[in-house]
Parts: sequence; C-alpha cells; structure tokens
Amino acid sequence: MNTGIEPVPVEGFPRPQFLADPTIERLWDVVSALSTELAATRARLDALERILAGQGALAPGAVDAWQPPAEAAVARVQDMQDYTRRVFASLAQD
Amino acid sequence: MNAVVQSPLPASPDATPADTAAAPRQLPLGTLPQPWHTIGRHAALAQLSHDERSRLDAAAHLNHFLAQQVVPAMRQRFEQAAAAKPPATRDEAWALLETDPRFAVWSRLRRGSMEARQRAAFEAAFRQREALAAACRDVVAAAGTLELDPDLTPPAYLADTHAHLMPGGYLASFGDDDVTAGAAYEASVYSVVPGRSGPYSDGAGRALARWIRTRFPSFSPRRILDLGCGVGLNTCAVAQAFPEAEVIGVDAGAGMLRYAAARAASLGITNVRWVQADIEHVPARLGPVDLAYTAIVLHETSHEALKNVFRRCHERLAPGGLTLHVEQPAYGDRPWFEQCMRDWDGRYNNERFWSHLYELDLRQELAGAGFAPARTFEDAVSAVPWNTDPRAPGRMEDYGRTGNWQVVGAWRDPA
Repeated sequence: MNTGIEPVPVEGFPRPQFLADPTIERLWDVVSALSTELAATRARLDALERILAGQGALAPGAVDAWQPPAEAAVARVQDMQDYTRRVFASLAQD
Repeated sequence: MNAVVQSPLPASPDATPADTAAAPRQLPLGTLPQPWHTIGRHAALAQLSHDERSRLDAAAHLNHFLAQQVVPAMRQRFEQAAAAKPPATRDEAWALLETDPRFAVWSRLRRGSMEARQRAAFEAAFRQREALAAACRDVVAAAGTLELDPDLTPPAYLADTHAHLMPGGYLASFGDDDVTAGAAYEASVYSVVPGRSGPYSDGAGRALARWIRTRFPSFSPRRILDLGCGVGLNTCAVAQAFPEAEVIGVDAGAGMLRYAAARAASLGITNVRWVQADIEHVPARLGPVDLAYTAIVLHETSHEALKNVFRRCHERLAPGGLTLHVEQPAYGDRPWFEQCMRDWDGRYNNERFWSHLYELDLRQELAGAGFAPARTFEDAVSAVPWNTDPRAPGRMEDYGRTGNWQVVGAWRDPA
C-alpha cells in the first residue's frame, strides 16, 4: 500500500548507507523484504493447513504424502520453471 | 556511571512483580519475541490482517536474530581490534566498529527491520483510519476526558523529525477525529520491544509505579502529571497503580491524545485527563501536582526543551512533591562497544537528540532547574515482567530495546 507518508529525513539524517556499493545495499533491502513476505506466506499456509485439519478436511501429513495427478504435475513443473525464470531473469540478460 | 542507589533513597526490598489476573497472557516463549496477536486488546486497537501481523513478527524475529546471534561475534571482533588499537573516544570506537564489514550488513538489516515494522503498523492503521476514528469518536465524547488546544503550536523538534522512523511522526493527523498516529504507535511499539513490556506495552509505567511503592511506600500522590504521555501506555499503568489519584497526561499530538483517551476509556481507566499542550509550557491552570514524571520521553526532546521541562516540573510540584524521569541509562563510562550499540539509534534511527541526552548528567540538569542538588537521586529500574523475567538466565541485552532503565529524580523542598 502506498500511503504517501514516509519517514522524513531531517538534516543529518538521510537514509543511511552502510555498504560501499549502493547496489548491494539495495539487494539487502530486497532480500529482507522477500524474507518477510516468505515468512508471512509460510505462516498463512501453516494456518490454512491447521484450519483444514481442525475441520477434518485435511489429514495430518496429507500435504507431504500428496502425489499430484499427472496433469497437475505437468502444470506444476511448468509453473515452477516459469517462476525460476522470473526470479532469476537478470542472470540471463547481457 | 554506576546505576546504584544514592542518597536520599532508602534500601530496596526485592519486590515481586504484581500480577493482574484479568490481563491477557503472553506465551511462555522465554527470550523469543511475543507474536503480535498476544497484544492487549481494547476498542481503539487497530485490527491487523494475518499477513500484517506476520510481517511485524518476521521483522521482530530478524531483529532478535541480529541481537542474539550476530552481536556477540561483532563484539568479539571489536574487542580484538580494540586491544590492538584502543579507542580514546566514542567517535574512535565508531570508526573501529565500522571497519567490520559484517557491522555494515547488521546495520542495514537492523535499520530495515525498524523501517519494516514502522511501515507495516502505519499502513495497517492508515487503511482503517475511518473505522478507527468512528470507533473512538463516541467513546472519547462519552468519557469527557480529552482537552485539545486547536491553537497550540507544537514544538518544531516534533514537527520536523519523524522519530524512530515513524511515518508522519508524532503529530500526524488525517482529519478532525483521526487516531492513525496513535493506533500505528501502539501497533508498532509492541513489535519493536517485542512484547517485553507486557501486552499493554506499559512496562516503564508499571516499573515507575512499583519503584515508588517500593522505595517510598508512604508516598501517595493525589495529583500526577505525565509529561509527553503519547498514547498513554505508561500513563494508564500509573493511573491503575494510583487509582485514587487524578492523573493528567500532557502531549502535543492531538491524534495521539484522541487515541489515548479512547484506549483508556475502553480499558475502564477513568482517572486520567488528556491535555494537549507543549510540555515545555505546561499550563499553570492544571494546578500543583505531587508527582511529575516522564517515561522514555527525554530522548525525543532537545536539550533546551529538557531544561524547560525540568523547570516546569519544579514550578508545578507542590512542596514535598516528587519528579521522576525514566530513561535508557546514560553512556557514562560503559565499555565502548556497548556505548556504540546504545548510540546506534542516535545515528541511524532518526533519534536526533539521543546521543546528546545519554551524555548528560540529569541530576545536574535537575539541580539547574531549581531542585536542591542533595535532594536529587538516580537508580536502576527494570520493566516489571508480565510472565517473563527480563533478567532470566540466557537473556541477552538488546541495547536500547530491553527494559533496563535508569530513573533520575528529585524531591521538591517542603514548604
């Protein structure tokens, strides 16, 4: 969400740069943000599994034991390949 | 500085913390951060979605990891380097620390975790600002405890600094009934501490009240002034500890006070008036008080403001009254590494008065404001644990984030 409200840098307090290379500095920001979002996603998946198990809709260990049917397996392979290309796209560029 | 009892304090019995049976229970997690959902509930509290809570929790865990797992190795490298070339000043200690490449990454991530928590809490409060305003409006009107001053010119140091990266700062307001700043403040502070100050984030207020009861059991203030009360986290704890007293919470931020009034009313606390004013110019109409205190506020004020606040405390105290100020301990002659860790907020967390405050001798400042030097004192004070003990074995100091404070105070001469 963009609220338009950000911490205002005051004199003597610009956003500090800790690393010599500003690109690496930004990279750590991205890694932190991704780590936060992944933590939230993991927690949400855990909540879903526990809610479903509590309702009897999901047996304990069902996700780990699940073998995708062939059609779903193909779709999931394609999806993971697309995901990998999206995330690491910059490595394939000149 | 030695955080030891100095005259005129009597000896302290080893008090046990008071437990409030009706209060929410935090989880038995030892030193780990309390998840956000264990926060104490009331009608004004922002409602956070699952992912909003998770983002705050993830940032708290990152900070916990940085404090517990990264700082010890950083300290070891610093001390090795310092043994070869001992720093003579804190600036030299900083220069030495900054030669450690992992300090740079540690700082980047620590700053990032502060930004993330402030932003997540603010965004959650901001998106529901209309619902929060509506929820608070009637509660505040019914309570009749809020006294705003639309003509107040807030101090510039509050207006142009977004302290500890708080979006919009203490004075942010998005409408006549807006409580966004207050709601965001309480939501973020629970994550920043995280949870160590109890479900209601009022550890400093409870510590202050317990300290008074322990040291001066016969002191029973009838009128109490809380300067820089913000959303009243500590004010409410003091009001609950002295239910017969009239407590006056003073702050410059209307949004903070609207939230404070709604929060207190929702928690059933009725003995607090919430008055909008500049703490450097506490209105004389508020009358004399028996106790005038600040709780973790002085580092948000300039040195000039601090002098004025101490003068106001002296002026407003009735004869025989007490002034108390709870803050992080002064740097004094603490080891250089600890000083740098404590000073980090002053450099990198938008705390523009931080470094200077902890260099001051606050007893001397109180004497300068009119208190008799022999009647000033200082002592150590710790957060009153809720169901965890801040001094438990294995708990490591997270400088500036752990509830180990100092209290500096003075008695006004009797008439």
